[in-house]
Amino acid sequence: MRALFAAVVAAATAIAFAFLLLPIVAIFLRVPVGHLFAQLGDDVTRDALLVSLKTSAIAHACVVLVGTPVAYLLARRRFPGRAVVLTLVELPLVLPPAVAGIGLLAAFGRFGLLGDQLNALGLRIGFTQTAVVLAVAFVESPFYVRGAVAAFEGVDENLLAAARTLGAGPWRVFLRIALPLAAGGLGAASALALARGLGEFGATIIFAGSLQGVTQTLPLAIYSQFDQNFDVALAISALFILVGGGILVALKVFGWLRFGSISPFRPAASTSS
Amino acid sequence: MASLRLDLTVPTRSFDVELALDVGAETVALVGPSGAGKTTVLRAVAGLAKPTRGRIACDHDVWFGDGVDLRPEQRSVGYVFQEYALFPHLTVAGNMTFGGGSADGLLERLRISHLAKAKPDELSGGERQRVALARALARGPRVLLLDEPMGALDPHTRAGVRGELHDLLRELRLPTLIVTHDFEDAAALADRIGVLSDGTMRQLGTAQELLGTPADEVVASFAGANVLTGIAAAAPDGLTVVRLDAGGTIYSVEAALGAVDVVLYPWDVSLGLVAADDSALNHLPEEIVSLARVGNRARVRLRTLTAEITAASAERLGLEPGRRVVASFKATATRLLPRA
Repeated sequence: MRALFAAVVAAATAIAFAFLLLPIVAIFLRVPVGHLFAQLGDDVTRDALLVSLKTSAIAHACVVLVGTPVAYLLARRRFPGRAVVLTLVELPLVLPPAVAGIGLLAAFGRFGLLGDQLNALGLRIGFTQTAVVLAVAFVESPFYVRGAVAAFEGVDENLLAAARTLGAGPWRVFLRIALPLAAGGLGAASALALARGLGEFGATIIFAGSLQGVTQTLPLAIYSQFDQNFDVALAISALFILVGGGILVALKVFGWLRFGSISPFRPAASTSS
Repeated sequence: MASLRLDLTVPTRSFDVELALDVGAETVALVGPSGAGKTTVLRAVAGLAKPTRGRIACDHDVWFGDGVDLRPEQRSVGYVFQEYALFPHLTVAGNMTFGGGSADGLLERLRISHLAKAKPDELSGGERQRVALARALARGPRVLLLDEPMGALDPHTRAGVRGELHDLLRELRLPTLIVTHDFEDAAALADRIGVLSDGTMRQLGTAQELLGTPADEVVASFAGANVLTGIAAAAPDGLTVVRLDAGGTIYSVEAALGAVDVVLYPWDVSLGLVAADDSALNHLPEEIVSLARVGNRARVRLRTLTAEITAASAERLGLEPGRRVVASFKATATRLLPRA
């Protein structure tokens, strides 16, 4: 029986491994690698790369800037309704991105909830780069906030208390103690969120459309090219695999150096003992 | 004259801690079993735990009560946390100057100048304790709070560090609260000792007072005494005879009737292989459970009580676990506390 169990586990592992690896390998085997990366010089690819970099950078900066204080609050304070807020923050994680796109359209679109107010201000958001930024921020924010809450929760409460007894006000406690000690976990959460934001597709195409050079990000470019120039779609996909793989490897090496574990989801180490 | 006055109720998960205490320029130790609420008292004084009612005042400044509730950073406490809570990402000097103030004099006073550039995880337990103490003192606090300052040290380091801390506290003359679960540490460091159990102060007094006239069995057992339970009745010659619940009878010079706790200190118990014909009235046949040498003394745990004798005597008698002995003590060495 013991041998049978071992065989079943080994077979399941082999199937899972092959299934996950095959599509990734296929992208690199379909055409010669040299030809593959030559496709990155294509106009569509270049435009998409610029749109993606710009919108992701802005969206990510907003998420980190707003998400960090939110995570600090959620990690440090126990208040009624905290569980509700935490669940709400994580909701985009389980929503289909298309639902996020519809939701954003219903809120900020021309005929949406805030449509009239935005119109009066002369602001049009739907199908602009602003829409891309909003869509990306919406889907990546739970990845960052979740990881950041865990990172702040990993900071020993007594260190913050000690800082306060030494005369430090809330800003100083946050900047000098909590932030540096949570930095590892915040960095990991930030990288994962960034990767998720770069890959955002569903919410963007519904809320921002797919206009080359304006709202067409790299994933949208893959979609627009796969029936026109499959090699360009392959090339962009290969780029994603390299960037995503690079982020994961960097996180694991960093985590392994810091905590001796290969999970990037570990909270920051902070105890003094 | 520096003083810290407390009168407060602080809720914890399982009970309310209620305490009234005036601390002058002296050291008061709070001892008691873990979970008794000792740390909660320190946290309330520092402003890290919020009392439901009461008053905390340092000299003439109210820190809590009368509509006032100062934040921790507005109070003036030097707090040495359990496990020390040194900032792991800062050097010793960085830790010390975090609250402002100068580090040099204190580093020298505590003989840690050479460690200024080291990170906390490079320090030994004793060094960490000194850094934590120096950091707490760097801002010139008006009250000192020490939570198990010796708790993280091995027994070898402990004795030396205790002596240094004792001298430092005498020199500082600050109102100091020190939390410990070790009665010996408390007796060595504090002017007065308060025994806390389930959030209430059982007794407050000098070590001698707690040892000599413990208020109840919690205090007695904390002071390191044996506490035997039994039923007391009058005996001839004005003595009291106690029939022990664990078997056997003993005599006491104290008067009592009914259910009692018999308090007996380990150093008042002598051991022999046979009952000696001496002035001791009480002889209990016992069996050795374990035996631990502490320097030149041996703590011998018997079935129902503990005896402390010289290591030389233990050797001479060939004492070892499993050996049957007779524990002897005088009727004058026993205290009888009526049991509620």
